[in-house]
Amino acid sequence: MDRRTFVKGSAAVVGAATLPRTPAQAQAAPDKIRFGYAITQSGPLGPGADSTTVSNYKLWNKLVNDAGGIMLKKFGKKVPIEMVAYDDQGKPDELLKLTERLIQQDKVDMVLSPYATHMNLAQAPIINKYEYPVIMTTATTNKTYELGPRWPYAFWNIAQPREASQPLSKAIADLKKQGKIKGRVAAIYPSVEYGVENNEAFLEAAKKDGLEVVFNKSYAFGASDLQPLIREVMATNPDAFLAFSYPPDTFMLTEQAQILGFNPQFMYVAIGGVFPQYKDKFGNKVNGILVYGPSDPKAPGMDEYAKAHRDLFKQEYEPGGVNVYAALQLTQQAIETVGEIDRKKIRDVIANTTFKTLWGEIKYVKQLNANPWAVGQWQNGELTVIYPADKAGAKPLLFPKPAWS
Amino acid sequence: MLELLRRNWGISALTALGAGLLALVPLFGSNYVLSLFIVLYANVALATAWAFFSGATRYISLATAAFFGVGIYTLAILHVYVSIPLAVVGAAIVGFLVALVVGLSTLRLRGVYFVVFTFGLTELVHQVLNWWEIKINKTVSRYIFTDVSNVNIYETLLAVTLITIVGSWYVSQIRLGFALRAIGEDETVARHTGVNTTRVKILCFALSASVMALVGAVLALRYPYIDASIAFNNTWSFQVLIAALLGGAGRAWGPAMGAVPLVLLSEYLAGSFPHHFSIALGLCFVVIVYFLPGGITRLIERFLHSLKAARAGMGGHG
Amino acid sequence: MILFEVFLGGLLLGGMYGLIALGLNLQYGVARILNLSYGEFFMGGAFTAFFTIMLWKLNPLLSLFVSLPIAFVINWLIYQYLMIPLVRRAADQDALDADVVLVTFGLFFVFQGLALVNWSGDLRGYSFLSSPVHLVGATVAFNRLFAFLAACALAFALFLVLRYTRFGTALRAMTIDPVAASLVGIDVRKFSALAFAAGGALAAASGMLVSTFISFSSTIGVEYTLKALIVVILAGVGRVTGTLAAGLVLGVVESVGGYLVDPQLTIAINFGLFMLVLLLRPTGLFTRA
Repeated sequence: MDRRTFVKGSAAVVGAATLPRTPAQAQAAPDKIRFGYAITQSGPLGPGADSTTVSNYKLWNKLVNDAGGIMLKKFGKKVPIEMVAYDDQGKPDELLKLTERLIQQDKVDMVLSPYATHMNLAQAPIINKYEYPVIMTTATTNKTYELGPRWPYAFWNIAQPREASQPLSKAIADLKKQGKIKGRVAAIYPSVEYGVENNEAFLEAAKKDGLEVVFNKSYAFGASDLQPLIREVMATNPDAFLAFSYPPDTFMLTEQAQILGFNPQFMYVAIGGVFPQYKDKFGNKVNGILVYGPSDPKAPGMDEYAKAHRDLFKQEYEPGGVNVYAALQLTQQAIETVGEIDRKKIRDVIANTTFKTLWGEIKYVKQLNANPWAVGQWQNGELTVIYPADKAGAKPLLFPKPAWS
Repeated sequence: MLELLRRNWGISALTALGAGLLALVPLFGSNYVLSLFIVLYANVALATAWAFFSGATRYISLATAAFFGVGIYTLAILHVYVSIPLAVVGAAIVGFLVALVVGLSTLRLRGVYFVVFTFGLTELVHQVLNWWEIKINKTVSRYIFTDVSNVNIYETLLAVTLITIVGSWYVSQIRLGFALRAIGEDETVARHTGVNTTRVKILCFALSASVMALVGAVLALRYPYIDASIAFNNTWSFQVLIAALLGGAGRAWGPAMGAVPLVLLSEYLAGSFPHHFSIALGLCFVVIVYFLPGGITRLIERFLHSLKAARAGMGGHG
Repeated sequence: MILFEVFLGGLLLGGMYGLIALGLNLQYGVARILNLSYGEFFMGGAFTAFFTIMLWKLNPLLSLFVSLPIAFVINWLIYQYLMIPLVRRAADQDALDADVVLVTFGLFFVFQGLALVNWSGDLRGYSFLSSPVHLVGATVAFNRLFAFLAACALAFALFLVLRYTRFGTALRAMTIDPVAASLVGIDVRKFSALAFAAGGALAAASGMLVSTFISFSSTIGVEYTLKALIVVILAGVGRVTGTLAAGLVLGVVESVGGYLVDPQLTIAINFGLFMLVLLLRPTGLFTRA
């Protein structure tokens, strides 16, 4: 089962429209299925794109072809895949141009998602114009709730600000109800869209849940010293501390909290908290820290995924990138269900099917992943998945966070 | 102006013909070709506008991204209230005004101090605008939903680019252009010969900035989403500087000679070496400096010169 | 009390700013080459330290025995074989600057690209001396304090070299007037090459020290080149010993200002101060007017 789920990625497609199996017709099968992507390789966003997204594109490419390719029922044979890759240098204009190039010059069969919210949003009008279904694996914004009807070919895979923040607020409210915590919350965020929107979504939820937000400030993204800010936070004596942070600040504020002996019972850091490098740097001090966008290392197929990743890249996978691999798996499942490259049909299958993937069950409601993994926690030196609590594989919250030792 | 045209009728006719042909590209080209040309025009217009001021005066500015970003933001704010063409023109005006203020305070700096100051200016505007958006609007992103077609953007940018090149050439032929170059050669001497250096510098700096803001505003019509880090992306400043240096910043058509090959080169490299793009581009820079000294303009001029010399030589023998 | 700690933190931060700028001022002030690939050697120093502690389980300070000589040699080669031909053929300083910007920008792309391909783009960080130190009631991180002390020591050593050695006298003479220096028999090219190489080695050293408390990746270089450039301009080009002082001013104003006004404005304050100083003293804080 494990091996099958992982390698073929086609097990148990629930509720898919079952099409009649047509025998191979006179029409010849394509000799390749071509996937194209333009993504940031050079520039400040290059590193993130590489470890989260590009590595999974390469890995999937290899594993699908090792297994013979993608099954096209219409022709009754497996067809190998090929990747066409471009570097958009982190510039929206380059991305727009290269996406047109992929679609019009290279005539790729499918387009894969670029990296970062603003790039995905920049690409969305084009892929909709040409009707290419794309699963966006690194885009979160409060606007997604309105964008569905505008861009029917865009799917949003990761936890959006509300989905990411509400469980945190609810968890603190529950602890307060149980009398384990006073419910004094301090939240900080960097001056980037992700930070601002997650903070706003959290404040909204906290208000509804009756939490007392004792401290709420933003800091400059790229700051070299967060100690003064942490001092201010400490002065308000919170028992829950949340940082809607970006990777460099996630690392820095974890270290500076230790140096200052800041020991909140409930602590959340956002992007970067799931990185294997985070655990490498802080060792078991990560235990109890809550993080954004995890994946479940115990999910079926994950052992093989981890091994394949290690074999290909000589390093550990990035848990935040598992959703990218899942998006590729479900794309493959959708293509195999349709049985040919008919993007309109593939889009409809993606929109209406519940998929089993490495990242758990994925089902889109109004093109938004209905129940993505939002919050994880380091427990006993391992990343676990916590929220949504009703999702298969979720572990109970470890509370309180052990003090730094 | 007429006199100038008559004196340069050959090149004028050629320019008009070229412009006419380029305006027809949307009839034949795919959307990809249009996108490629849009990026080309944007780079050419920015590099020409940059060299119009910085090439002549030798005040090397890294504030291209600042004015470009001002244009994007002006459009993002205005397009909700007024029609698109009005918002685009508004962006150029705001760019002009901002540059006036900046120019008044900074143009006494020279050399590397001016360079780094303009770089700092971009960052400062970026940071302060971001702060303002978060404090007042509780968000850092703005959405631009328009139905302006690629063809319209193409034609607009083509017009902007042509006007920039022709305007830059025209100015180089009149008194203002001589004053600018005099400042570049020696500012003190220029002042002593009766040039009002402050007024000339600020006026030209602001003109150049208004083109940058205009280009930003037109390009922004294609982005549904902007934030300060997109608008004030300082790679624009460096890219434009490099295109102008590569082409040769001394002539109106020089920057275009740098920007066009640079865009085509990165288009080729981005496709052929997607994972080694920056290594390849870097090596190209190094090779260009050692094997193409003085930029592409010098190469072309040398070629034209030898052509002329050859013709003169033949005439002598015949 | 918090304010004192914030001030102290700003001082340490300023030490870091001074540290990263020392080498650039040596390269730009003495050798007159604005090296835009400077930060790549900072990045190289950080990576060497990272591999030393995480892969080979050794003290990251030992990495300096590897990264310093390598950075020194590479920078010497860059000066000797890439810059000297440009210096020779340049008609004037403007023409030279244009060439140098293009070439060193190209080198920046090449080095960063090589790092990306070989070391991937992952964010790196490690824990070294990450324990609290209590100073007169305030708490600071040992690694930041250590980098600060190292910055002071390096600046002081540089000061001694410049003031009391023949080599230093030559460098100072070249900073003031390279033509006159060559007239009195100073081999300007040789000393420029050495100063340039030493500047690159200092970049690697600062990368090692800063990597103990700031996470980094293969694309971090350019950010530090620009940070260093700001400090150099603030101090005054060629004012090697003023570099540390300029860094300290920046650090303290950034920290205290951010604390008193708004932490989101730290970077804006940093640039604002820099621009204000330039407007008031157009050639830097520590130049003789």
